[in-house]
Amino acid sequence: MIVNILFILLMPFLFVGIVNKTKAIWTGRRGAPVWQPYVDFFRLMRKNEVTSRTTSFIFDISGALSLAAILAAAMLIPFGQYHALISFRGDFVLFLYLMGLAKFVAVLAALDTGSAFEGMGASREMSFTTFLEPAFFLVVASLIYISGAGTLSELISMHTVKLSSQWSLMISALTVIALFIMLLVEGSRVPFDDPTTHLELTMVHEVMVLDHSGPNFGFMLYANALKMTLFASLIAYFLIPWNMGIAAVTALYIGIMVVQATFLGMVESILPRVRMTRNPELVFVPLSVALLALTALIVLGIGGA
Amino acid sequence: MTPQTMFLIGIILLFASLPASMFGWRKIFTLSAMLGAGFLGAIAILWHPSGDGVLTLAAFHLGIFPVELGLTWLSSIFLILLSAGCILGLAHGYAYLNGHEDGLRSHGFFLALLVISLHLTVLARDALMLFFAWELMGFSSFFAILVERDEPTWKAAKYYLIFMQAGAAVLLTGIAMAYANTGSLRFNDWAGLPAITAFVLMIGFAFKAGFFPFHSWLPVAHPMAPSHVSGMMSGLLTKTGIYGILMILLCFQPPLASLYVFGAIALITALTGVFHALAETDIKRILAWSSIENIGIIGLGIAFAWLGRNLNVPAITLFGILGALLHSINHSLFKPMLFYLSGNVQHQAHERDINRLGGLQKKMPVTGGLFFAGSLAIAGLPFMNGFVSEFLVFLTILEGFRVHDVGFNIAAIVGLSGLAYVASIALFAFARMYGLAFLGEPRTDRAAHVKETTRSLWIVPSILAGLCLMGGMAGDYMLAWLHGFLPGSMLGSDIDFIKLLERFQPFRLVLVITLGFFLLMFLWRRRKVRFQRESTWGCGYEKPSAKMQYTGTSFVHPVEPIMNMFTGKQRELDFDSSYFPTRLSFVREARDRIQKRLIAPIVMAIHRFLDLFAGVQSGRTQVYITYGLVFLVAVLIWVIVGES
Amino acid sequence: MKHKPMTGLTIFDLIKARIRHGDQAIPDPLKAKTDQLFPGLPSFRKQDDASWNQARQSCPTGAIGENTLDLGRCVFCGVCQRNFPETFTFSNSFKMGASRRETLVLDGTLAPDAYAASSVTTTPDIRKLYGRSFKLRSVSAGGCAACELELNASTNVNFDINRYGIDIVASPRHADAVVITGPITQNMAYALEETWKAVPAPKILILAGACAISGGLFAEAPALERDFLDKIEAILYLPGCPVHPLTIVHGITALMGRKK
Repeated sequence: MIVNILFILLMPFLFVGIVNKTKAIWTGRRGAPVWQPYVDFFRLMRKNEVTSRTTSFIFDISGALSLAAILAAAMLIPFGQYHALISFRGDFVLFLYLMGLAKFVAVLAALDTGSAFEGMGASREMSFTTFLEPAFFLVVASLIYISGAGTLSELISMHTVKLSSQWSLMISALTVIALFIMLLVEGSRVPFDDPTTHLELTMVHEVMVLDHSGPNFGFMLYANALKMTLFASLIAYFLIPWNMGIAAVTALYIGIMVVQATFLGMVESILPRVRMTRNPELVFVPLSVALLALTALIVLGIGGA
Repeated sequence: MTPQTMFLIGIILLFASLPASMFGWRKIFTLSAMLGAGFLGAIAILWHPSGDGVLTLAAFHLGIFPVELGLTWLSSIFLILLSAGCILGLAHGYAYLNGHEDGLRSHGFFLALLVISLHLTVLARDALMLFFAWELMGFSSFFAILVERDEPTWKAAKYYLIFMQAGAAVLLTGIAMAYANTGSLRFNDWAGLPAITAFVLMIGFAFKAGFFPFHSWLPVAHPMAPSHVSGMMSGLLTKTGIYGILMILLCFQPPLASLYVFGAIALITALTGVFHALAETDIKRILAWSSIENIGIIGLGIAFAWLGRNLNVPAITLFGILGALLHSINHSLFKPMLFYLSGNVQHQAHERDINRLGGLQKKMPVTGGLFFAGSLAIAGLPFMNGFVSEFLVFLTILEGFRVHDVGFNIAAIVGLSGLAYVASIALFAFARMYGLAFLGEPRTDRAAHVKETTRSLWIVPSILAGLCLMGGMAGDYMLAWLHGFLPGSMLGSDIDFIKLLERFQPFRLVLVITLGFFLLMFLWRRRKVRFQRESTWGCGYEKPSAKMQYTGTSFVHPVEPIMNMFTGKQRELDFDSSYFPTRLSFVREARDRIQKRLIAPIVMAIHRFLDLFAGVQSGRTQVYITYGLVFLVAVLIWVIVGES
Repeated sequence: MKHKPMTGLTIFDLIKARIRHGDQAIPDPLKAKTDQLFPGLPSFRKQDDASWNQARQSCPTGAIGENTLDLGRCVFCGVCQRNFPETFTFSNSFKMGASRRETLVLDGTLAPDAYAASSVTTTPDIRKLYGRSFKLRSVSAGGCAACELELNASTNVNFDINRYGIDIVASPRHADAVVITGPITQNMAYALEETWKAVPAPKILILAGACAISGGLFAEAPALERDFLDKIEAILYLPGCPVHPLTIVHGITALMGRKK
């Protein structure tokens, strides 16, 4: 339990830090230390806030509520060999809807400022993510189909995919691809969004928090980093073979997280962001991938519950 | 007190409200109608029949036809839903119409009739009574819409009436077929109806529920009705259609293929509803379309419940039916609430277009806060009741992946991804509705000079918001209560149900923790941080204007290609192509294709046909005397010809 | 998906290119050696009044005063040095930033090292809050874009101001300091004011380049509106025309209280 809490507290910004470091090294810079996002976070926590006269209570609660929802969602996620703090049958629905709550509040806060930029970001954020919910559900459904398990911790683990089956590789690969693309969208990374862009017109997630300052902004940053980490953690948890010792699993888990962060940094360094109008097509990928996996399973009649 | 006496008291009170409304005694009228509805609802709470039993409340003969009023497990649930909804609707109507003078007496009369007919519909145990109540419901709601007697309201009301009559005609056909099949009008004798008869009956009910393609009356009629009526129509009237469909489904063994078709229709209904809700800019029309979406979700639950029955998986049946019933109840809480609140907005701003509103939250903090709560509920987000029932429908479909049956699995894939897509678009649509109408800067003068409504208009919405929150936090109690109604054939094993309820402990824990985290961080921040109010950061631009904000139309631009598949593309851009155009106009309108291409022409045709007879009513005494003469002459000729 | 990342380039080409480019970062910008030709911190020894006055006349911005040389006005054109090499010399020290406007007015007594050691002062508050994380918002207040380019260059591969936790952010709401470049024209006065208001407290004002500090060549121009600077006092002045990235790196890190 303590380990879970430690992961929730420590992982997100380190993850972002590793991504940023990778990007810095790719471009030939030295870059900020990997713990820089933490330092930034504590700096924000100690600052005061400027809020817009246009805003109402929605803006005021947005940071805290988004972060609270994502923190609660984090409790449903397994880390390494440590199962989720809370898990019950069908918890993945709650997981996804807590994400939805965070997004809903963030979008409303953006609209609350009355800024044209933020409205634009809100609109884009909303439209990119409409395909994610079906994709996530289909991934979950295909795992339920194979294993008959009921909770997220049980489902998202390799042992649900029977290693003996020749299809297990395909299913695992498709699940990982779908989850990784969800990570890219939810974490608002390249090629969907460029978190380092300084031009408001091209931003998606970043532009929604243009008016947030101080702790409110810090909460938002934390929520976003945590969201990304949660998906990465799902992937890591999924990839770990289940029959290893605790030390090996932990080492492997941390290793996979670092590899993912590095990979993410690499993707951001070599891929340009795609044109805004193309994004909805790209978001369609995890959906079709998940659909493909599930249809294959059903048509072939694999799995036994 | 026996249920029969209670029924009698309830009915007498309800009918007593009719003369009271005629005399203009608004308080007495409202009170007696509320009490009457309360008494009827109390019967269902106290004495609802268990299992497949029927509780007969009254039986008499009307001419040669026996008439019976009573309760089954299904009608008990819907009676409670309707009477609770009516009580709150009447109370809000009382507050809402304060200050209105014109036509109030007749409005009260038809409102009371609507309440009576809603109750009679679910109480009826035979087709005759049901049809009578059905027609009464159609007519009374038609007149109840007509508080404002301007041209668009007339048009909408007429459209609605014709639509309802078409539905009633289908229903009557179904009843006649059922009579021919079973030789009885009593529902108790209708077990084992032939499929074709049952389908006709279900189509008749689908008109009222608003299933695709019979949905187009909702967005036409609801916006024109006064808010308490649209709330009641959307939350309660459509539920009688759901009730009818469920009742018929219990009467026969639907073939497997028809269940797939029903599921597909439900999904199309939900998708159509939610995409129109996303495209519309009129708050009430958005809400009306969202009703269609929710009816689709309910239908999806029903379809999977019966599919589970067909496959002999009791867990799916149980979850599905519970999900559908719970969503019906939840929808009848949050939808009227949002309609009532949109009435407050219309009352104060005289505007319903979200592109012309904005910034209302600061002007109307209570209405806005309640509207936020309602938006959470309708978007199906945690903490509010919408989530619990959507969660159940999701569980129903996901449960389907434990069963290995190719056809069913494929249906589950389509249903699951469809429902998830509907849910995420709903999130989009309601973030848009609340965000653009209530947040940001006011886009027009009207919106800028809005004041908060009187307190009386918050009471009912706050009660409903409280109920929504309770339903969201303590959904398991609600489910256990609903479970008590279900007959053995629906129950499945107790283990399934206990397992279902067990999920709610950790679920509630997560919500409480979320709330705890939120309060901790929020209060810490409020204590620690000093706030400075400035204008919104606009890159130092000197003259930002409210018109620069994103509008309801631009907000949905990224999903327009997908949206257009459902709503049709209606945009007109008009400008002169010089370097400094002096004239520029852009119109984007979402139109319902089904309505435009299919329903509207039919309705117009009926309208034109009826217009042929309009000349008959000239209003001149001489003409009427002539009619009488003509009639007499005709009779005379007929008699003479007949004699010879 | 029709889009291609880069035509004809594979990931391996990219990796190869990356390896070929090698490490271009300046290991420690604070210890960097500048070229001999780089005009850095000037020093002077007044010879005689006549030549001094002549030099004073020739200075385009009036940086040369009675007995002083104002770094805040100096555009490093080198006219005075060319005409009077015995009086004026430009060292190649880039550590010219100062915390107070008065410090910039040199009296010719301080050696470059001594100047660099004391010119930028930090406070415990700033060090505590911004010591390892400092976000800037740049306002180009009517500048010629040279200082803006140099500010931009300070984030590039060579200077990499990022490594100290310094970033230029997209919104003043996220920033801790406003960096002004350019002489502050009338048209930018309002935007500057708005930007300053939009930064949450505690906030810092930084002036970069001769134009921002004193108006530079445009000091007398009627199109300037520098009232803003009367109200708000900057706590870091970065001289130069344009200001050199190393000056920026040194000044800001010194302000943050990082090791000099």
